[in-house]
Amino acid sequence: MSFAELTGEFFLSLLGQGDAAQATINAILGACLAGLTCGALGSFIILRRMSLFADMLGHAVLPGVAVGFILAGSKSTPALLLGSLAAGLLAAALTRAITSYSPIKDDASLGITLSLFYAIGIWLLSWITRAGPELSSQSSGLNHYLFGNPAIIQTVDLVFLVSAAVVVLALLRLFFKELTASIFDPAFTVSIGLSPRIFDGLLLVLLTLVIVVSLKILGVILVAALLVIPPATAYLLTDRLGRMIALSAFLGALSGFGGVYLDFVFGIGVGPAIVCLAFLWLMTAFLASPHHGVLGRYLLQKKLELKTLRENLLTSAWRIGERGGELTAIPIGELASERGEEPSATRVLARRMNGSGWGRFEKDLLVLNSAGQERACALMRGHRLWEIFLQREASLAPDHVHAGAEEIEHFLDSETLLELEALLDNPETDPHGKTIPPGHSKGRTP
Amino acid sequence: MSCLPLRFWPGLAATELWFDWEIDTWPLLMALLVAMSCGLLGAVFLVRRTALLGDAVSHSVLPGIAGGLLLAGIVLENNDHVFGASATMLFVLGGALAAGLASTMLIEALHKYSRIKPDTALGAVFPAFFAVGVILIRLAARDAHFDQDCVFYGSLEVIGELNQVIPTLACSILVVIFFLCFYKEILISSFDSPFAGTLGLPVGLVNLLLTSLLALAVVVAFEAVGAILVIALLIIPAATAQLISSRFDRVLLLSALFGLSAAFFGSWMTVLLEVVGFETARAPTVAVFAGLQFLLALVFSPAQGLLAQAWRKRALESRILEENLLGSIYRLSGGVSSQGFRLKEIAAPLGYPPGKLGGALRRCRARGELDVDREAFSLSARGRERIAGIIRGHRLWESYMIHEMGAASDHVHDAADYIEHHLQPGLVKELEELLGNPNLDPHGSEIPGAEGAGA
Repeated sequence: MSFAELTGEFFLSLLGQGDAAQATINAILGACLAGLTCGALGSFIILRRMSLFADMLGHAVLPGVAVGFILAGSKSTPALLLGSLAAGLLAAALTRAITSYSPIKDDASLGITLSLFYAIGIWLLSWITRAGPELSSQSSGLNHYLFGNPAIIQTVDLVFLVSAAVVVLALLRLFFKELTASIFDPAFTVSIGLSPRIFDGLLLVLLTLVIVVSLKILGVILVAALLVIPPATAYLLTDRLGRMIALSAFLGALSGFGGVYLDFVFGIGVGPAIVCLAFLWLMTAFLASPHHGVLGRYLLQKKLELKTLRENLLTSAWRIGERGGELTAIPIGELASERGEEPSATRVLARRMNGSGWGRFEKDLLVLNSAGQERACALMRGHRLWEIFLQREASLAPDHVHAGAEEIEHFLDSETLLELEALLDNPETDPHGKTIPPGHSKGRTP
Repeated sequence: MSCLPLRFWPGLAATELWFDWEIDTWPLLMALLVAMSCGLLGAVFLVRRTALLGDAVSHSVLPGIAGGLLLAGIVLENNDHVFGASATMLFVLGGALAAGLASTMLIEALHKYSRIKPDTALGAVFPAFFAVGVILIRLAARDAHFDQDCVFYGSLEVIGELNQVIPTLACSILVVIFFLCFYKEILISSFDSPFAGTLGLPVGLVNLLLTSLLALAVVVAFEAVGAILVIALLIIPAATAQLISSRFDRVLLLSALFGLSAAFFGSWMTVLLEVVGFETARAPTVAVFAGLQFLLALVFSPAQGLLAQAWRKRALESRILEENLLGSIYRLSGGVSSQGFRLKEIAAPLGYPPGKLGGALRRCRARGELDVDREAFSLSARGRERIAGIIRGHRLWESYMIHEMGAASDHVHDAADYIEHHLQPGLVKELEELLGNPNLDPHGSEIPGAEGAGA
């Protein structure tokens, strides 16, 4: 079947009746719920720097699944959940014990617990699949706990997922303030009589719970991904915790839905598809997030570079004007000799003045309008005031102040200028004996 | 657990309890080689505090391995066995190295060029790479005879001829040669990288070789123990070695040894377990045995084990109790008379219930540090000598706190009470020189003579 036909069938099955349709709907519900809960809780996890701990816990619940299965003799969901809950808590305790009572550092102890528990789990699973018929016949599908497979999601699993989602969201809402404080300001938490440890404990229990109910969808190795990747994406998109949680939960659920769809169409496995999709959002945000994205910051930097370049042309023009030249239309040749560069280079720069609102390049002249002249004046004023400031207040030699002023002139706002004027008592000349251009700020009386 | 069909022990032939060399030779050799190279490499990364790099690399090379297999399948049209042809092996190796490198660079970029923290970057990139690997493996499994379970369980069991061991053998030899040739470089750059740079050692080259060897070891281990179990072999024997020794050369050697013993005894355990009807895969058994060794070392290691720590703590507590007991008698008797005191009187200034001093009393008597006259205990000459040194340290410390640290004279006793049990002779000597050998402490009590302290 073609891609389009499969897509059509996928959406039709959402409306349809029968076992196949029910399985798809269950898978979507399960994946979305898991994504939602993991995303919401994950925000706290990555901020509390527990990402690798979550990864460890994901791997470490495997022996619990196996033991639960062996004891119950079947894939009874409550038995497997209880087993993995116990294994997760045991693994957390072992990690803590290793760091407290031996010279082994935290990251290594995470690695030890992860690989030890995972090995025990795989060891038990390898036995189960080879054991006598009464066990191994029941065990088909236990491998789904490794990669996850929402096709086996049943109503009882959905009930657990919904309950876990309700418990996690309710507790996060209830302790939102305390959790926030314990993450961003542990010292403050202690000062109001709360121990950050309690909240670490709360996060640990919720984490184990979420991992355990999400196992059937993502599997032990990938479950941590949904706890880390959507929150990291949201972290790049917003600065507010509340929005980060909402966004991360949304992205988790979206990845869950998209994963089921991609598996339906391409048959690549739901768990891996969900993780790849979530990672795709992360990469997109990494590149294109308006404030924290690589692209956004690159554009901002380019904009700043352009502004600096234009302003440097303005100050060069001002210096020519100061010596009695023309400030409305400066010949490129004069500008080039003032700047000590080839006229061709200056011509390239002057062309970039077009569109600045300060002036334009015209017939080998740099033509400045009144806004450009005003800006040039303000820049020079800031530059020279700063030179005086550096000399008087920072005790720099007069021949050492130019470079500092050259950099800061582009960033001096009117408020700082006012302060400088007041501090330096409105000087007339700069350390090199040059006149300080008159200001247009309110603080100066002509 | 009715599912355990336990056989009767007496009916067993001795051969069933030992390796069947016809079948077991190559799997055992494979396990030993993998465990040894992982043990050596893992120890370096553990000492460098980048233990999770193994975790990282093992997850992230999966897409490279699967991609290499897919590509080799397309290019070579030869899918008989995973690493059957050496050309396939080259594809897989190249893919794995590329994937490992790509994931490392991506993690670096994520936390360098955005505000994502390094641990989050690590936790986001590995599962993503692993997920891509799983998808590629699924695609590979569609048209190749590729055993998906091998990703998890390893496939030590199916190794039946020397040919299959050769890549691993080559890798192990490379690792050993690397360690023999670059031992000094590895040592110095692991502990003081800038210093190694100033010595003109090729730090960058050594690091690059280490990481490449790690990727190589993970790839050859992939067939033997699977993608994730290799972490156990990289990290657990190394951590076990670190519990036993803190010297770099010994940690390296012990780590390799613990790897080898886990491989040997783990494989043997599989044989034994099979005899009792508990059939398991070999690779996870090896990993579990490595874990068992670690837990044993955690408890029993002579240097760092829990038992040794508890023992040292107990010994310290007993010594402190003894010194407090003797000190109390010394103070009650004013430091000079050999007057005897009852246990109740001795315990009262210490704030102890008298029963708490019972053990200390017995030990001091056995050592002849106490004389007993009916119910009254007094210091013998030997006991006086021992406690005079402690009291001297106590009173010198009080003087030091007042003269040099500017503490008030009524604030120094508790601190001195604590530190008196931990002052070394060298430090007492320094205190004497600093304070000009005073005779009286700040409270006007006599400081017992240096002869007592030195003894």
